[in-house]
Amino acid sequence: MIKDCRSDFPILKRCIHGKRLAYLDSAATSQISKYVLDAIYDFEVNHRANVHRGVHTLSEEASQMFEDARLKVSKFIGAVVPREVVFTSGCTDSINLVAYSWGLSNLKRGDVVLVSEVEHHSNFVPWQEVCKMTGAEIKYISVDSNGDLDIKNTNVDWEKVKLVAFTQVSNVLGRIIDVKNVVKIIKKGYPSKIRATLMPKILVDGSQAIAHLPVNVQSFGIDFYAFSGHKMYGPMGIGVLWVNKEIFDELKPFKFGGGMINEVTYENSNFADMPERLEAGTPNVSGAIGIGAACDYISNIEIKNIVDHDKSLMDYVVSKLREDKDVIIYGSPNSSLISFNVKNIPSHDLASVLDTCGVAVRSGHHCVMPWHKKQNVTTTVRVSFGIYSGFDDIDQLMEGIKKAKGMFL
Amino acid sequence: MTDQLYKEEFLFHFKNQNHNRLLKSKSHFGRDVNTSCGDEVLIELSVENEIIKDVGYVSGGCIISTGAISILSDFIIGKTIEYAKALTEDEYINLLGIDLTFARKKCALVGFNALKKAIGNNEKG
Repeated sequence: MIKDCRSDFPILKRCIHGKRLAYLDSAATSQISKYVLDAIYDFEVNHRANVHRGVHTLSEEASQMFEDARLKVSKFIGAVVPREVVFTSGCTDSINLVAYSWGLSNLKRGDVVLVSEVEHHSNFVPWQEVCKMTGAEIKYISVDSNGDLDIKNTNVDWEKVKLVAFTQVSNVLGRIIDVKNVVKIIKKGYPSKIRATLMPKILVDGSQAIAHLPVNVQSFGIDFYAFSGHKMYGPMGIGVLWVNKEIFDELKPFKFGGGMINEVTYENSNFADMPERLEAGTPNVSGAIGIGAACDYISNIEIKNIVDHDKSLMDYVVSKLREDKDVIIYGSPNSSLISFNVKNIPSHDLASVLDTCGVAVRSGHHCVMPWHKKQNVTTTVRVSFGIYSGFDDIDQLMEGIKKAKGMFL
Repeated sequence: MTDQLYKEEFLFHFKNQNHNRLLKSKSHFGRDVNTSCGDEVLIELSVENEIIKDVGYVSGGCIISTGAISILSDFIIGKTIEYAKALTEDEYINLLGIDLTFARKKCALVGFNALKKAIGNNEKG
Protein backbone atom coordinates (compact mmCIF):
# COMPACT_ATOMS: atom_id res chain seq x y z
CA MET A 1 0.00 0.00 0.00
CA ILE A 2 0.97 3.60 -0.51
CA LYS A 3 2.33 5.40 2.52
CA ASP A 4 -0.52 7.53 3.81
CA CYS A 5 -0.63 10.62 1.64
CA ARG A 6 -3.93 12.05 2.87
CA SER A 7 -2.14 15.01 4.42
CA ASP A 8 -1.20 16.07 0.85
CA PHE A 9 -4.90 16.69 0.19
CA PRO A 10 -6.24 19.30 2.62
CA ILE A 11 -9.85 18.86 1.42
CA LEU A 12 -9.95 15.39 2.96
CA LYS A 13 -10.06 17.01 6.40
CA ARG A 14 -13.56 18.29 5.61
CA CYS A 15 -16.63 16.84 7.25
CA ILE A 16 -19.75 16.40 5.11
CA HIS A 17 -23.05 16.40 7.00
CA GLY A 18 -21.04 15.86 10.17
CA LYS A 19 -19.28 12.76 8.82
CA ARG A 20 -15.69 12.27 7.68
CA LEU A 21 -15.40 12.71 3.92
CA ALA A 22 -15.00 9.44 2.04
CA TYR A 23 -14.19 10.77 -1.41
CA LEU A 24 -14.91 7.99 -3.90
CA ASP A 25 -15.38 10.07 -7.05
CA SER A 26 -11.80 10.42 -8.30
CA ALA A 27 -12.77 9.18 -11.77
CA ALA A 28 -14.85 12.35 -12.20
CA THR A 29 -12.13 14.50 -10.72
CA SER A 30 -9.36 13.67 -8.32
CA GLN A 31 -8.52 15.98 -5.49
CA ILE A 32 -5.56 18.29 -6.01
CA SER A 33 -2.25 17.63 -4.30
CA LYS A 34 -0.76 20.29 -2.05
CA TYR A 35 2.48 19.76 -3.96
CA VAL A 36 0.70 20.90 -7.14
CA LEU A 37 -0.95 23.84 -5.38
CA ASP A 38 2.46 24.98 -4.12
CA ALA A 39 3.89 24.87 -7.65
CA ILE A 40 0.98 26.93 -9.01
CA TYR A 41 1.23 29.37 -6.11
CA ASP A 42 4.94 29.84 -6.73
CA PHE A 43 4.32 30.67 -10.38
CA GLU A 44 1.44 33.04 -9.72
CA VAL A 45 3.18 34.86 -6.87
CA ASN A 46 6.80 34.92 -8.03
CA HIS A 47 7.02 34.42 -11.80
CA ARG A 48 3.70 35.32 -13.48
CA ALA A 49 4.11 36.74 -16.98
CA ASN A 50 3.07 35.80 -20.48
CA VAL A 51 5.18 33.17 -22.20
CA HIS A 52 7.26 33.34 -25.38
CA ARG A 53 6.45 37.03 -25.80
CA GLY A 54 8.80 39.09 -23.67
CA VAL A 55 12.50 39.48 -23.09
CA HIS A 56 12.10 40.68 -19.54
CA THR A 57 13.09 38.46 -16.65
CA LEU A 58 9.59 37.40 -15.58
CA SER A 59 8.63 36.41 -19.11
CA GLU A 60 11.85 34.42 -19.50
CA GLU A 61 11.19 32.65 -16.20
CA ALA A 62 7.55 31.93 -17.08
CA SER A 63 8.56 30.60 -20.52
CA GLN A 64 11.20 28.36 -18.96
CA MET A 65 8.72 27.01 -16.38
CA PHE A 66 6.11 26.39 -19.09
CA GLU A 67 8.57 24.45 -21.25
CA ASP A 68 9.91 22.59 -18.20
CA ALA A 69 6.34 21.47 -17.57
CA ARG A 70 6.13 20.20 -21.15
CA LEU A 71 9.37 18.29 -20.61
CA LYS A 72 8.06 16.73 -17.39
CA VAL A 73 4.86 15.58 -19.10
CA SER A 74 6.78 14.21 -22.08
CA LYS A 75 9.04 12.15 -19.80
CA PHE A 76 6.08 10.99 -17.73
CA ILE A 77 4.32 9.49 -20.75
CA GLY A 78 7.44 8.35 -22.61
CA ALA A 79 7.22 10.79 -25.53
CA VAL A 80 10.12 10.87 -27.98
CA VAL A 81 10.49 14.65 -27.75
CA PRO A 82 8.70 17.36 -25.71
CA ARG A 83 7.39 18.85 -28.99
CA GLU A 84 4.95 15.93 -29.14
CA VAL A 85 3.14 17.32 -26.09
CA VAL A 86 0.38 19.83 -26.87
CA PHE A 87 -1.28 21.60 -23.96
CA THR A 88 -5.07 21.77 -24.18
CA SER A 89 -7.87 22.62 -21.77
CA GLY A 90 -8.58 18.95 -21.00
CA CYS A 91 -9.11 15.55 -22.53
CA THR A 92 -12.30 16.61 -24.35
CA ASP A 93 -10.43 19.52 -25.88
CA SER A 94 -7.57 17.18 -26.87
CA ILE A 95 -9.89 14.82 -28.72
CA ASN A 96 -11.74 17.69 -30.40
CA LEU A 97 -8.36 19.01 -31.48
CA VAL A 98 -7.63 15.72 -33.25
CA ALA A 99 -11.13 15.66 -34.73
CA TYR A 100 -10.75 19.15 -36.19
CA SER A 101 -7.00 19.39 -36.88
CA TRP A 102 -6.60 15.92 -38.26
CA GLY A 103 -10.12 14.64 -38.94
CA LEU A 104 -11.49 17.47 -41.04
CA SER A 105 -8.59 17.42 -43.46
CA ASN A 106 -7.99 13.66 -43.59
CA LEU A 107 -11.46 12.07 -43.55
CA LYS A 108 -13.76 11.81 -46.55
CA ARG A 109 -16.84 9.97 -47.76
CA GLY A 110 -16.22 6.21 -47.75
CA ASP A 111 -13.81 6.35 -44.79
CA VAL A 112 -14.63 4.73 -41.48
CA VAL A 113 -13.95 5.94 -37.95
CA LEU A 114 -14.03 3.07 -35.50
CA VAL A 115 -14.72 3.69 -31.82
CA SER A 116 -15.56 1.34 -28.98
CA GLU A 117 -19.18 1.23 -27.88
CA VAL A 118 -18.27 2.10 -24.31
CA GLU A 119 -16.49 5.38 -25.00
CA HIS A 120 -17.08 8.46 -22.91
CA HIS A 121 -19.09 11.02 -24.91
CA SER A 122 -15.85 13.00 -25.29
CA ASN A 123 -14.38 10.24 -27.47
CA PHE A 124 -17.61 9.62 -29.30
CA VAL A 125 -19.54 12.83 -30.04
CA PRO A 126 -16.57 14.63 -31.73
CA TRP A 127 -16.27 11.67 -34.14
CA GLN A 128 -20.00 11.57 -34.74
CA GLU A 129 -19.90 15.28 -35.64
CA VAL A 130 -16.75 15.16 -37.79
CA CYS A 131 -18.19 12.17 -39.66
CA LYS A 132 -21.31 14.24 -40.41
CA MET A 133 -19.11 17.06 -41.74
CA THR A 134 -16.83 14.89 -43.87
CA GLY A 135 -19.22 12.14 -45.00
CA ALA A 136 -17.16 9.47 -43.24
CA GLU A 137 -18.98 6.75 -41.35
CA ILE A 138 -18.72 5.95 -37.64
CA LYS A 139 -18.72 2.28 -36.63
CA TYR A 140 -18.34 0.52 -33.32
CA ILE A 141 -16.12 -2.05 -31.68
CA SER A 142 -18.31 -4.16 -29.43
CA VAL A 143 -17.41 -4.74 -25.81
CA ASP A 144 -17.87 -8.14 -24.15
CA SER A 145 -19.48 -8.76 -20.77
CA ASN A 146 -16.16 -8.26 -18.96
CA GLY A 147 -15.57 -4.91 -20.63
CA ASP A 148 -12.88 -6.07 -23.07
CA LEU A 149 -12.88 -4.85 -26.67
CA ASP A 150 -14.00 -7.57 -29.03
CA ILE A 151 -11.88 -6.22 -31.85
CA LYS A 152 -11.28 -9.59 -33.51
CA ASN A 153 -14.98 -9.90 -34.30
CA THR A 154 -15.43 -6.34 -35.46
CA ASN A 155 -17.26 -6.51 -38.74
CA VAL A 156 -15.63 -3.77 -40.77
CA ASP A 157 -13.77 -3.31 -44.01
CA TRP A 158 -10.39 -2.56 -42.47
CA GLU A 159 -9.07 -0.93 -45.60
CA LYS A 160 -11.61 1.83 -45.11
CA VAL A 161 -10.80 2.45 -41.45
CA LYS A 162 -8.88 5.70 -41.07
CA LEU A 163 -9.01 6.11 -37.33
CA VAL A 164 -9.54 3.81 -34.35
CA ALA A 165 -10.34 5.51 -31.02
CA PHE A 166 -10.71 3.76 -27.70
CA THR A 167 -10.20 4.29 -24.02
CA GLN A 168 -7.38 2.69 -22.04
CA VAL A 169 -9.71 2.24 -19.05
CA SER A 170 -13.50 2.44 -19.39
CA ASN A 171 -14.96 5.10 -17.13
CA VAL A 172 -18.01 2.89 -16.54
CA LEU A 173 -16.74 -0.68 -16.57
CA GLY A 174 -13.36 0.02 -15.01
CA ARG A 175 -11.74 -2.54 -17.28
CA ILE A 176 -8.13 -2.06 -18.36
CA ILE A 177 -7.71 -2.37 -22.11
CA ASP A 178 -4.38 -3.85 -23.16
CA VAL A 179 -3.48 -1.09 -25.62
CA LYS A 180 -0.46 -2.89 -27.09
CA ASN A 181 -2.49 -6.00 -27.78
CA VAL A 182 -5.36 -4.09 -29.42
CA VAL A 183 -2.88 -2.20 -31.61
CA LYS A 184 -1.22 -5.49 -32.54
CA ILE A 185 -4.55 -6.98 -33.62
CA ILE A 186 -5.46 -3.87 -35.63
CA LYS A 187 -2.14 -3.83 -37.47
CA LYS A 188 -2.08 -7.58 -38.00
CA GLY A 189 -5.53 -7.43 -39.54
CA TYR A 190 -4.23 -5.40 -42.42
CA PRO A 191 -3.30 -7.19 -45.60
CA SER A 192 0.39 -6.92 -46.30
CA LYS A 193 -0.36 -5.14 -49.57
CA ILE A 194 -1.45 -2.09 -47.62
CA ARG A 195 1.43 0.24 -47.03
CA ALA A 196 2.22 1.29 -43.49
CA THR A 197 1.24 4.85 -44.29
CA LEU A 198 -2.33 3.73 -44.94
CA MET A 199 -2.71 2.13 -41.53
CA PRO A 200 -5.42 3.81 -39.50
CA LYS A 201 -4.42 6.37 -36.95
CA ILE A 202 -4.97 5.19 -33.39
CA LEU A 203 -6.16 7.47 -30.60
CA VAL A 204 -6.23 6.37 -26.98
CA ASP A 205 -8.21 8.19 -24.29
CA GLY A 206 -5.98 7.97 -21.22
CA SER A 207 -8.24 9.89 -18.81
CA GLN A 208 -8.81 7.03 -16.39
CA ALA A 209 -5.36 5.51 -16.84
CA ILE A 210 -2.90 8.37 -16.54
CA ALA A 211 -2.85 8.43 -12.72
CA HIS A 212 -3.22 4.69 -12.29
CA LEU A 213 -1.25 2.71 -14.86
CA PRO A 214 2.17 2.84 -16.49
CA VAL A 215 1.90 4.83 -19.71
CA ASN A 216 4.52 4.73 -22.43
CA VAL A 217 3.12 6.17 -25.62
CA GLN A 218 6.07 5.01 -27.72
CA SER A 219 5.62 1.39 -26.71
CA PHE A 220 1.87 1.53 -27.43
CA GLY A 221 2.43 2.04 -31.18
CA ILE A 222 -0.29 4.70 -31.39
CA ASP A 223 -0.66 8.20 -32.86
CA PHE A 224 -2.60 10.22 -30.28
CA TYR A 225 -2.92 10.00 -26.50
CA ALA A 226 -5.24 12.34 -24.60
CA PHE A 227 -5.74 13.05 -20.90
CA SER A 228 -6.72 15.71 -18.35
CA GLY A 229 -4.82 17.27 -15.46
CA HIS A 230 -7.71 17.19 -13.02
CA LYS A 231 -7.88 13.40 -12.94
CA MET A 232 -4.22 13.12 -11.91
CA TYR A 233 -4.14 15.31 -8.78
CA GLY A 234 -3.57 18.38 -10.93
CA PRO A 235 -5.67 21.44 -11.75
CA MET A 236 -8.84 21.68 -13.83
CA GLY A 237 -8.69 23.42 -17.20
CA ILE A 238 -5.48 21.81 -18.42
CA GLY A 239 -5.01 18.70 -20.52
CA VAL A 240 -2.60 17.11 -22.91
CA LEU A 241 -2.69 15.79 -26.43
CA TRP A 242 0.33 13.71 -27.29
CA VAL A 243 0.91 13.50 -31.04
CA ASN A 244 3.33 11.02 -32.59
CA LYS A 245 5.95 13.20 -34.30
CA GLU A 246 5.83 11.00 -37.40
CA ILE A 247 2.43 12.51 -38.26
CA PHE A 248 3.02 16.16 -37.38
CA ASP A 249 2.53 17.13 -41.03
CA GLU A 250 -0.96 15.66 -41.09
CA LEU A 251 -2.28 18.14 -38.51
CA LYS A 252 -3.59 21.48 -39.67
CA PRO A 253 -3.97 24.43 -37.31
CA PHE A 254 -7.48 24.56 -35.89
CA LYS A 255 -7.45 27.74 -33.82
CA PHE A 256 -5.80 30.81 -35.25
CA GLY A 257 -4.27 33.84 -33.59
CA GLY A 258 -1.26 34.80 -31.54
CA GLY A 259 1.41 32.33 -30.55
CA MET A 260 0.77 29.91 -33.43
CA ILE A 261 2.22 31.89 -36.33
CA ASN A 262 5.62 32.31 -37.93
CA GLU A 263 4.97 35.33 -40.07
CA VAL A 264 1.86 37.40 -40.75
CA THR A 265 1.34 39.87 -43.57
CA TYR A 266 -1.81 41.65 -44.74
CA GLU A 267 -2.04 39.07 -47.50
CA ASN A 268 -1.26 35.82 -45.73
CA SER A 269 0.10 34.01 -42.68
CA ASN A 270 2.26 30.99 -42.16
CA PHE A 271 2.26 28.93 -39.07
CA ALA A 272 4.67 27.87 -36.34
CA ASP A 273 5.91 24.33 -35.91
CA MET A 274 4.46 21.84 -33.46
CA PRO A 275 3.35 22.18 -30.76
CA GLU A 276 2.84 25.96 -30.96
CA ARG A 277 0.80 25.68 -34.16
CA LEU A 278 -1.91 23.95 -32.11
CA GLU A 279 -1.65 26.25 -29.08
CA ALA A 280 -3.09 29.57 -30.29
CA GLY A 281 -3.49 32.35 -27.74
CA THR A 282 -2.06 32.74 -24.28
CA PRO A 283 -1.79 29.25 -22.85
CA ASN A 284 -2.90 28.12 -19.41
CA VAL A 285 0.59 28.54 -17.98
CA SER A 286 -0.25 27.91 -14.33
CA GLY A 287 -2.26 24.86 -15.42
CA ALA A 288 0.70 23.52 -17.39
CA ILE A 289 2.99 24.06 -14.41
CA GLY A 290 0.37 22.31 -12.29
CA ILE A 291 0.16 19.27 -14.55
CA GLY A 292 3.96 19.13 -14.65
CA ALA A 293 4.00 19.12 -10.85
CA ALA A 294 1.32 16.40 -10.86
CA CYS A 295 3.59 14.24 -13.03
CA ASP A 296 6.40 14.73 -10.48
CA TYR A 297 4.04 13.95 -7.62
CA ILE A 298 2.87 10.66 -9.16
CA SER A 299 6.42 9.74 -10.20
CA ASN A 300 7.60 10.19 -6.61
CA ILE A 301 4.90 7.85 -5.35
CA GLU A 302 5.70 5.46 -8.22
CA ILE A 303 3.06 4.01 -10.51
CA LYS A 304 3.82 0.43 -9.46
CA ASN A 305 2.77 1.32 -5.90
CA ILE A 306 -0.42 2.91 -7.21
CA VAL A 307 -1.22 -0.23 -9.23
CA ASP A 308 -0.87 -2.36 -6.06
CA HIS A 309 -2.94 0.12 -4.06
CA ASP A 310 -5.76 0.11 -6.61
CA LYS A 311 -5.76 -3.68 -6.75
CA SER A 312 -6.11 -4.04 -2.96
CA LEU A 313 -8.97 -1.56 -2.89
CA MET A 314 -10.70 -3.16 -5.88
CA ASP A 315 -10.44 -6.65 -4.35
CA TYR A 316 -11.86 -5.28 -1.10
CA VAL A 317 -14.78 -3.36 -2.60
CA VAL A 318 -15.73 -6.24 -4.90
CA SER A 319 -15.72 -8.71 -1.99
CA LYS A 320 -17.83 -6.36 0.15
CA LEU A 321 -20.34 -5.60 -2.61
CA ARG A 322 -20.66 -9.29 -3.48
CA GLU A 323 -21.70 -10.04 0.10
CA ASP A 324 -24.89 -8.09 -0.66
CA LYS A 325 -27.26 -10.11 -2.85
CA ASP A 326 -29.07 -6.94 -3.92
CA VAL A 327 -25.97 -5.46 -5.55
CA ILE A 328 -25.44 -5.85 -9.29
CA ILE A 329 -21.88 -5.18 -10.49
CA TYR A 330 -21.39 -4.29 -14.18
CA GLY A 331 -18.49 -5.91 -16.05
CA SER A 332 -15.32 -7.22 -14.43
CA PRO A 333 -13.49 -4.13 -13.21
CA ASN A 334 -9.77 -4.45 -12.63
CA SER A 335 -8.63 -0.84 -12.35
CA SER A 336 -9.65 1.93 -9.96
CA LEU A 337 -13.40 2.23 -10.54
CA ILE A 338 -16.49 0.07 -10.33
CA SER A 339 -20.11 0.62 -11.37
CA PHE A 340 -23.05 -1.07 -9.71
CA ASN A 341 -26.68 -0.75 -8.70
CA VAL A 342 -28.61 -1.84 -5.65
CA LYS A 343 -31.85 -3.51 -6.77
CA ASN A 344 -34.88 -1.22 -6.53
CA ILE A 345 -32.89 1.83 -5.40
CA PRO A 346 -32.38 4.38 -8.19
CA SER A 347 -28.75 5.48 -8.44
CA HIS A 348 -29.38 9.15 -7.64
CA ASP A 349 -31.28 8.23 -4.49
CA LEU A 350 -28.54 5.89 -3.33
CA ALA A 351 -25.98 8.64 -4.02
CA SER A 352 -28.06 11.17 -2.04
CA VAL A 353 -28.21 8.88 0.97
CA LEU A 354 -24.48 8.11 0.67
CA ASP A 355 -23.82 11.84 0.64
CA THR A 356 -25.51 12.16 4.00
CA CYS A 357 -23.05 9.53 5.25
CA GLY A 358 -20.11 11.63 4.00
CA VAL A 359 -19.56 9.34 0.99
CA ALA A 360 -19.08 11.05 -2.38
CA VAL A 361 -19.86 8.81 -5.36
CA ARG A 362 -21.04 9.46 -8.89
CA SER A 363 -24.50 8.45 -10.06
CA GLY A 364 -25.96 8.73 -13.54
CA HIS A 365 -24.86 7.59 -16.97
CA HIS A 366 -21.27 8.86 -16.54
CA CYS A 367 -21.35 10.40 -20.03
CA VAL A 368 -21.80 6.98 -21.65
CA MET A 369 -25.50 7.04 -22.57
CA PRO A 370 -25.44 4.65 -25.57
CA TRP A 371 -23.87 1.82 -23.54
CA HIS A 372 -26.37 2.24 -20.69
CA LYS A 373 -29.24 2.16 -23.18
CA LYS A 374 -27.86 -1.00 -24.80
CA GLN A 375 -27.65 -2.71 -21.40
CA ASN A 376 -31.17 -1.53 -20.61
CA VAL A 377 -29.79 0.14 -17.50
CA THR A 378 -30.86 3.73 -16.97
CA THR A 379 -28.06 4.73 -14.68
CA THR A 380 -25.48 3.29 -12.31
CA VAL A 381 -23.56 4.24 -9.18
CA ARG A 382 -19.80 4.52 -9.67
CA VAL A 383 -17.17 4.26 -6.97
CA SER A 384 -13.64 5.31 -7.90
CA PHE A 385 -10.39 5.52 -5.98
CA GLY A 386 -7.45 7.85 -5.71
CA ILE A 387 -4.12 7.39 -3.96
CA TYR A 388 -5.72 8.79 -0.80
CA SER A 389 -8.54 6.22 -0.75
CA GLY A 390 -8.53 3.49 1.86
CA PHE A 391 -10.44 0.51 3.23
CA ASP A 392 -12.12 2.87 5.72
CA ASP A 393 -13.75 4.73 2.79
CA ILE A 394 -15.16 1.46 1.48
CA ASP A 395 -16.44 0.49 4.94
CA GLN A 396 -18.19 3.87 5.09
CA LEU A 397 -19.69 3.19 1.65
CA MET A 398 -21.06 -0.15 2.80
CA GLU A 399 -22.61 1.46 5.89
CA GLY A 400 -24.29 3.99 3.60
CA ILE A 401 -25.69 1.27 1.35
CA LYS A 402 -27.10 -0.44 4.45
CA LYS A 403 -28.75 2.81 5.52
CA ALA A 404 -30.30 3.37 2.06
CA LYS A 405 -31.69 -0.16 2.01
CA GLY A 406 -33.24 0.43 5.41
CA MET A 407 -34.92 3.57 4.14
CA PHE A 408 -36.18 2.44 0.75
CA LEU A 409 -36.56 -1.37 0.72
CA MET B 1 -30.32 15.96 5.72
CA THR B 2 -31.77 12.72 4.30
CA ASP B 3 -34.66 13.22 6.69
CA GLN B 4 -35.41 16.51 4.96
CA LEU B 5 -35.15 14.98 1.49
CA TYR B 6 -36.90 11.67 2.02
CA LYS B 7 -39.66 12.74 4.43
CA GLU B 8 -42.14 10.09 5.49
CA GLU B 9 -45.03 11.71 3.65
CA PHE B 10 -42.96 12.00 0.48
CA LEU B 11 -41.88 8.35 0.65
CA PHE B 12 -45.52 7.41 1.16
CA HIS B 13 -46.26 8.97 -2.22
CA PHE B 14 -43.37 7.07 -3.81
CA LYS B 15 -44.64 3.78 -2.42
CA ASN B 16 -48.37 4.45 -3.01
CA GLN B 17 -48.87 6.13 -6.32
CA ASN B 18 -52.57 6.73 -6.80
CA HIS B 19 -52.49 7.96 -10.35
CA ASN B 20 -49.78 5.74 -11.77
CA ARG B 21 -51.67 4.52 -14.84
CA LEU B 22 -52.68 5.78 -18.25
CA LEU B 23 -56.17 7.23 -18.74
CA LYS B 24 -58.86 5.58 -20.84
CA SER B 25 -59.76 8.95 -22.23
CA LYS B 26 -57.30 11.82 -22.21
CA SER B 27 -57.53 15.35 -23.57
CA HIS B 28 -53.95 16.46 -22.91
CA PHE B 29 -50.60 14.69 -22.61
CA GLY B 30 -46.98 15.68 -22.04
CA ARG B 31 -43.60 14.03 -21.50
CA ASP B 32 -40.34 15.20 -20.00
CA VAL B 33 -36.99 13.57 -19.29
CA ASN B 34 -34.00 14.33 -17.11
CA THR B 35 -31.12 12.72 -18.94
CA SER B 36 -28.71 13.03 -16.03
CA CYS B 37 -30.52 10.37 -14.02
CA GLY B 38 -32.87 8.86 -16.55
CA ASP B 39 -36.08 10.22 -15.01
CA GLU B 40 -38.96 10.19 -17.41
CA VAL B 41 -42.58 11.18 -16.84
CA LEU B 42 -45.48 10.80 -19.25
CA ILE B 43 -48.56 12.60 -17.95
CA GLU B 44 -52.13 12.55 -19.25
CA LEU B 45 -54.97 14.88 -18.31
CA SER B 46 -58.70 14.58 -18.72
CA VAL B 47 -60.07 18.11 -18.89
CA GLU B 48 -63.75 19.03 -19.01
CA ASN B 49 -65.02 22.60 -19.04
CA GLU B 50 -61.48 23.84 -18.32
CA ILE B 51 -61.32 21.74 -15.14
CA ILE B 52 -58.77 18.93 -14.70
CA LYS B 53 -61.03 15.98 -13.88
CA ASP B 54 -58.41 13.24 -13.84
CA VAL B 55 -54.66 12.70 -14.14
CA GLY B 56 -52.70 9.62 -15.09
CA TYR B 57 -48.96 9.18 -15.43
CA VAL B 58 -46.18 6.71 -16.07
CA SER B 59 -42.96 7.47 -14.28
CA GLY B 60 -39.61 5.80 -14.73
CA GLY B 61 -36.83 7.18 -12.63
CA CYS B 62 -35.69 8.09 -9.19
CA ILE B 63 -37.62 8.33 -5.96
CA ILE B 64 -37.68 12.12 -6.04
CA SER B 65 -39.16 12.38 -9.53
CA THR B 66 -41.69 9.62 -8.87
CA GLY B 67 -42.82 10.92 -5.46
CA ALA B 68 -43.09 14.44 -6.86
CA ILE B 69 -45.36 13.52 -9.77
CA SER B 70 -47.62 11.59 -7.41
CA ILE B 71 -47.99 14.66 -5.15
CA LEU B 72 -48.53 16.93 -8.14
CA SER B 73 -51.23 14.65 -9.56
CA ASP B 74 -53.16 14.60 -6.30
CA PHE B 75 -52.88 18.36 -6.07
CA ILE B 76 -53.84 19.31 -9.58
CA ILE B 77 -57.08 17.27 -9.88
CA GLY B 78 -60.05 19.61 -9.55
CA LYS B 79 -58.03 22.70 -10.47
CA THR B 80 -58.63 24.70 -13.62
CA ILE B 81 -56.30 24.70 -16.61
CA GLU B 82 -55.71 28.39 -15.93
CA TYR B 83 -54.56 27.52 -12.41
CA ALA B 84 -52.20 24.84 -13.72
CA LYS B 85 -50.84 27.29 -16.27
CA ALA B 86 -50.14 29.87 -13.57
CA LEU B 87 -48.53 27.40 -11.13
CA THR B 88 -44.93 28.50 -10.66
CA GLU B 89 -41.84 26.38 -10.10
CA ASP B 90 -41.42 27.80 -6.60
CA GLU B 91 -45.02 27.05 -5.64
CA TYR B 92 -44.57 23.51 -6.92
CA ILE B 93 -41.34 22.99 -4.96
CA ASN B 94 -43.06 24.31 -1.81
CA LEU B 95 -45.87 21.87 -2.40
CA LEU B 96 -43.43 18.93 -2.29
CA GLY B 97 -42.33 19.92 1.20
CA ILE B 98 -38.78 18.59 0.89
CA ASP B 99 -35.37 20.29 0.81
CA LEU B 100 -33.95 19.87 -2.67
CA THR B 101 -30.33 20.41 -3.68
CA PHE B 102 -29.52 21.91 -7.08
CA ALA B 103 -29.07 18.50 -8.71
CA ARG B 104 -32.12 16.89 -7.13
CA LYS B 105 -34.34 19.83 -8.08
CA LYS B 106 -33.90 18.70 -11.69
CA CYS B 107 -35.33 15.30 -10.72
CA ALA B 108 -38.34 16.90 -9.04
CA LEU B 109 -39.04 19.18 -11.97
CA VAL B 110 -39.55 16.39 -14.53
CA GLY B 111 -43.21 15.91 -13.57
CA PHE B 112 -43.81 19.66 -13.40
CA ASN B 113 -42.31 20.15 -16.86
CA ALA B 114 -44.39 17.27 -18.24
CA LEU B 115 -47.54 18.92 -16.85
CA LYS B 116 -46.64 22.25 -18.44
CA LYS B 117 -46.07 20.50 -21.77
CA ALA B 118 -49.40 18.69 -21.42
CA ILE B 119 -51.27 21.95 -20.93
CA GLY B 120 -49.91 23.14 -24.26
CA ASN B 121 -50.58 19.79 -25.92
CA ASN B 122 -54.35 19.52 -26.19
CA GLU B 123 -55.32 16.45 -28.22
CA LYS B 124 -58.59 18.04 -29.18
CA GLY B 125 -56.82 21.13 -30.40
